[in-house]
Order: sequence, then C-alpha cells, then structure tokens
Amino acid sequence: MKNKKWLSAIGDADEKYVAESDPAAPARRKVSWQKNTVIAAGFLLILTLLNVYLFAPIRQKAPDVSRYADSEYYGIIQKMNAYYYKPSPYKNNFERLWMKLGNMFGGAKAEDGMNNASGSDLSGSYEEITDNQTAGVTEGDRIKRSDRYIYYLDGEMLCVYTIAGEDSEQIARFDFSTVRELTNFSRYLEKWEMYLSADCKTVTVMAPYYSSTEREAKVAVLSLDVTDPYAIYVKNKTFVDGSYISSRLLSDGELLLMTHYQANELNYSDASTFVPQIGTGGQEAPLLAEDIVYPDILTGTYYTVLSKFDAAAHEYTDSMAFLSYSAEVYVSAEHIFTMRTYSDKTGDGNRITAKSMTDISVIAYRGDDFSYLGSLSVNGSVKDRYSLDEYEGVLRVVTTTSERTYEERAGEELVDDVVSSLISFDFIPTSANLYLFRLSDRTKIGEVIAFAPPGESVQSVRFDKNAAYVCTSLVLSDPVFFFDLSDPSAITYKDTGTIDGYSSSLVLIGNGFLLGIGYGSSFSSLKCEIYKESETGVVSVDKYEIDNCTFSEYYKSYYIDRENALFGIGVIEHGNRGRSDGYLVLHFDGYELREVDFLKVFGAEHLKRGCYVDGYFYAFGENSFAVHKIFD
Amino acid sequence: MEDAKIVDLYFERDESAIVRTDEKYGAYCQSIAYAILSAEDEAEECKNDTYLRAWNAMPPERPSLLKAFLGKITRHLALDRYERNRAKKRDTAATVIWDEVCDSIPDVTSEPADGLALKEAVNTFLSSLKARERIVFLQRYFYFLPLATISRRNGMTEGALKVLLYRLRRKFKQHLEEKEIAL
Repeated sequence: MKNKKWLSAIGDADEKYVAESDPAAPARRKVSWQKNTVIAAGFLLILTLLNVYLFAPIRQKAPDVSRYADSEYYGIIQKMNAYYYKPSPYKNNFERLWMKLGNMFGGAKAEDGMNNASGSDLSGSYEEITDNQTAGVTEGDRIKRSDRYIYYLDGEMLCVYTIAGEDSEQIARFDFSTVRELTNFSRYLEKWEMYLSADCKTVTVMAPYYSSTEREAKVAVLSLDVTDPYAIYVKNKTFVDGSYISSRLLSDGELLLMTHYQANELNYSDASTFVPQIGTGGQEAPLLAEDIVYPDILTGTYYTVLSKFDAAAHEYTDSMAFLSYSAEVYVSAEHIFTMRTYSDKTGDGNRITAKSMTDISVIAYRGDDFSYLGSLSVNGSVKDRYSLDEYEGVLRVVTTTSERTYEERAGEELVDDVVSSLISFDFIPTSANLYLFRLSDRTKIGEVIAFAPPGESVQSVRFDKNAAYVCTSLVLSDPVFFFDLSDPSAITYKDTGTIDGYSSSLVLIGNGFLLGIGYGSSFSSLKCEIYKESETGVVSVDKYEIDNCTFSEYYKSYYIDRENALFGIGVIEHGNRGRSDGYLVLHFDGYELREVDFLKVFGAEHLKRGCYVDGYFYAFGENSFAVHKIFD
Repeated sequence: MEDAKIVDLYFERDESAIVRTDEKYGAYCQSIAYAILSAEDEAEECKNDTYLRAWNAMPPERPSLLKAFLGKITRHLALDRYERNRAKKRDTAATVIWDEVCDSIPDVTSEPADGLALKEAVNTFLSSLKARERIVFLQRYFYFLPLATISRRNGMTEGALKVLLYRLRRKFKQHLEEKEIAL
C-alpha cells in the first residue's frame, strides 16, 4: 500500500482523493442522502433540524484562539490559525451539497472543500582548501587539511592521510558507528561535514541523523581530539534538534543553520508542538517569541533557525527563528540573510496573475547576540545563496522572475486533487533581474530588469567586488552575462549571446577569467569553459568537454586552486575510454584549458574530493585514495 | 493548434476541444497509460477518461502547460487502474517499479501526512535535484519508462542509472524523514 502512496506522491496526488475517484463511491452517497431526505421529510422535527443544518450560514471565520491571548506566542498562534483555516466557498450546507450533486451529475468527483487553495608539532598548521563563499567565514566540508595531514570523511569514517607525495598513506581512521548514540539510527552520511580547528588539534563533525525513537531529525556535533592521529578520540558530543541546513565556523563557536518542523499533533497550549526547541541534554525549551520573525501570511509552518553554538561548552549562546522561510541562507562577513519566496497575486475579475516574490531578512551576527535589522523584497525567486552578495554596505541580488495565470471562481471548488496538484508546477520563468540595496536602510539603489532572454532562468551567479557574473538558460543553451556594478545608477552589462549548454557553477579564477562548469550539448556531457570580457561582449577563451559522463554539480566538491590555476571535479565516465570513476584535474595556462590528470577514485561524484600540495595531486573517494605527481 | 487556443475551447464549452486535445496529445497520454498498464485497451480507456477530467477541470483551471496537465491526470487514472489489476494478480511492466520503491518508504511512524505537506515535500525535493537527476527520476517514477530507454536517452549505462536511481530514492526517503512525513 505504501508503494502506491509513494508513487502517487511523485504525481503530487492526495491519497484520499484517489480513493474517492472510485465512481461507485459518490453514487452510493447520493442514494443514501436522498433516502435519508425522504425519511426525514416524514418527520417534522427532523425536517426542522435538517433545515437548520442546510440553511444555517457556514461559519466563515477561523476558530477562536483568543483564549491564548496571554501567551507570548499569541502572534504566531494567530498566524498559524489563519494558515490552517480554509474558508468555505459556500454560504451554507445546502449550497455546498447542491454543488456536489452538480459535479456528480457532471461526471466529476466531488471533493471536500477547496483545501488546495493555497598547530601543534604533531598536528601541523592549518591550510584552507575550502573555497568559502565569504572570505573569513569558514564553511564545513568533507575534506580539511593541515600542512602535515589530510582529513577526509569517507562515509562514517574519518580518514587521516599523510602528505608525503608518492609515499602518502592512510595512517588512521575513526569509525563513527562506534558512537553509541548513533548506532541504531539512520545516519545521513552524505550531509556530514567537518571543521579543522586553527591549531589543528580538533576536528568537529556535524553529523545529521534521524532519531526514530524521538521521531525527529537531529544533528550530532562531535568534537574529536586529533592531536595524535594515531589516538583519535571523541572529546565532546552534543545532540541538537532540527534538520541540518549548513553551518559556519566562527571565532567563538559554530553558527548552526537548521530547519525545524512543527509536531504532527499541534497543540496551542503546548509551545513545544509549534515553536522550535532550543537547548541540549534534556534542557530544551521553546524559543522566545521575541526571537521569532514571521510574515503576515504564512506559506509554510517550518522555521529556519539560526543558532550560535559553543560545541566545547555544549551550549547555545543565542538563537533566532524565521517562520515560513526557506533553507537557503547566505552568510556574509557581517550579516546573515534568510529568504522566503511567495506568490504575489493580482486580479482582473476572475483572472488571477501570481508572480513569484522573495523577502530577504537581514540579521547582524558579529556581536554577542543576533540582531534583526529588517527585511526587503525583490521580484522573483533566488536560486541559491550564491545569488546574493554583500560588498561595501551594498547587497546585490539576482533573481529569476516567474508567474502563473489562472481563472478563479468564487463558490466553485477545484475539480480534483490531480488538478490542484499542478499548481506548484505552473510558475513559468519569464526572465531575470538584478538588484542593489544599500544595507543601512535597505533602500534599492540600482536594478537591471529582465536582462535575460524571455523564458530563461538563472542557473549560476558569482560576484567579485564591483562585478557580477550570471548564467541563464533555456534548457541547454546559455548566455553568460558580465555586469559592471561600479555605478549602481548606471549598471552596464555584456553577454556571450546564445551558446551550447549552460554553467551550473561559475568560478572566478582571477585575471579577469571566469570558469563555467556545467552541461555541454546534452545532459550527459560535462563542459568546462573559460570566459573573458572583451570590448564588445563576453567571449569564450577555451573549453574542455567530455561526452557520456556524469559529474558533480555540488560546488564544495570542486577543487579550486587559483594560485596554481588547477581545478578538480568528481566524474564518472560512461564511454569507452576505460577510465570510469575518478577525479578530473584541469589546468588553465591563460590560453588553454587542458586535462592534466584523471585520478581513479570511486563513489558518488559529489562526495569525491581532491587537493594539490607541492607538485602532487591527492584525490579521495569511497574507500579509495590516489596520489599522482602532476608538476615538477 | 496552440495550447492556449485549445484551452479557450474548453472555456467556451466547445466540444471540439476534446478532438483537438486528442489530435495533439492523444499519443502522449496513451503512452503514459500504456507504460503503466501494458494493455492497449485499458490505456485507451484511461486516455478517454483523461479528456473527461480535463473537460470538467477547465474552467475554472487554466493550465499553463497543457501537456503536463493532461499527463498528470492520465498517470493518476492509470495508477489507480494498475492497483486494481494488481489486486487481481495481473502483473505488468510497472510491477518492477512498484517493487523498486520498497526501499524508499520513510521510516516515520507518525500518522500519514496530509496531501498539501506531501505535495510541498515532493516539490522541494524535486527542486533540490540537478536537472539530469530530476529528468531520470521522473522518467522512471512518473513516466514509468524502462531502464534501457532511460539510459539510452540520457547517455548512461544501465548500471550507472540503477546506482543513480538508488541514490535518488534514498535521498527522497531522507527528505521525507527530515520533514517527518509518513506515507
């Protein structure tokens, strides 16, 4: 039975409506109702009650929650109450039943309302190899290194390798399945990532898992003492609630970015069922209402929760939550930007046009506490955190605009779940916009509207000081745009014109060159292309392509070494070159982008990692490691 | 005829809308139903039922992508019919896919999630996938295409495709568990 539900979910169907699609079901109800009506007609009392039932106005207000007025969460309770309440399109039960009967005779399925409207000597010194989005804000990854050792998360093993060229070897491993608290649960190994402390004595692993006993997603924050790689041990372990989005390493602890979902059984008398629980070791407590930001109209009842966490002390130092916000979060040097996308509806009679909009909230995080500064709105939706950038007090944002048009009739329900399930797919990309906002007062100071060809959507974005680089596409063709943002009131841009494929990631590689990594002429080809700005537009300098392969689109899995102009990417070739699984290494000499090595390592493309040290390239995969000398 | 004009015919309650729909998307709808049912006569019936559903749905609904709109209706109808056939021990090509998803049922013991939450979870999952992943995932589990067809169309070996689909099913399961969505 669950197989059917799984497969129905892929089609966005509601299981109960599928059951109701049995043609016999409504017919039986009709006969039963008529029969009951005939019997009721014989009894005056019953007829009176029936009349009251049929013609009494249907309550058109959400349930009264005023009894919770003393609660500090009263504002949230009101919003959730409004979110879950679906007004009836009918004046009374007579009208509702009449419409149902009409639909039955018309052959359509009757539905129950319009419910779809809506450094030490041993350890060495730290070397940064993660290409962090913001300089100085360290991101976790599956690979970290000192000048002596490379640490790689391979499944549920922390593996330690020496950096010794061809004599490199794995010298130690730590098995996380031995951590008692994780033994019996689903461990989301692909989401695990880690940090190496500046003194290279501690590895902190963020280990998301699902606790089937507590019936919720959690994260184990595990601090390992790696001072002696031959004797690694867990020195701290903390278990926090929530679904892991990401994290950052701060000077005084970790910044945790999580999603919290409300409990299945909502009880407004018990804040723990609808407000994120913050705390550790059984000391969890609902977040204070003053630390929760919520919009006027909810689009979901999940929270994006920001927390400062001191893993060494096992404690939260501050938290803040954003109700109805998405899992995309951008962290600049000074601020955190959380986002929520919703639709803005405008109508002309019954014809409704819904446009995608995004609210961006700004939070200062460098002090002791989070400080909410306010929000701003832009047209369109934001693809990912790389679509935002803060530079010299100005926030730059690139969005894909999209809209949907449909007819809306008061008093008539949508015909069935199949129809209503299409709603979320119906937003059609129209173009792309670029906005500049002064952060001090969140005033818009510049914009470029509809710069992309009609119907294209944003695939990748990068910013570099006063420049922005954007790739848009319509299926498998893309222009790449170069913007000059030095004068916000007079932004200029150039583009490549339409070329084959599109870049799912853009990488700034210095000297005015931009590397695009993405698809070539088909979805089974990898294309890496170097672009440069010319006087008249943006030109391709060189490109490297492999057909019949799959590759990682996960940015952190790329090795980006601007100093040595080396780039690595996990691939699996399906052709006849006999290479199959591996990590591809490319080098750009200013004129030509060429392959310098293909190291055979195994596993999923996005889990492979690589790094270059002193003439040697090291690659890591599932239970596999390779090192080749690539430069003298 | 352009999709917008066909939709206008539905709104004008012009029965030629069904003829035009059949001319343009009949084969598409039938292929979806056939992939699930493996029986020409039943696929034909599903196709005709799809038109009836579309007639009743428009108005009020004005689909922006008429083809996808019809395809979803057909799939639902065919899946319902497949389940009834399965109860009568009548296996088809879809049986393999039916059994394939056994390893992807979320290990969540709460009450089954409501449709809105499930729809949202499916959409957020699909939006998180890479384009190629999404294509092969939906070709397999929406369109019920055979592995050989998907691998050929996407330039992959069947072995690589099986591994990719396994990872995607596991990821979908994880996604549902994180959102505490039970089936």
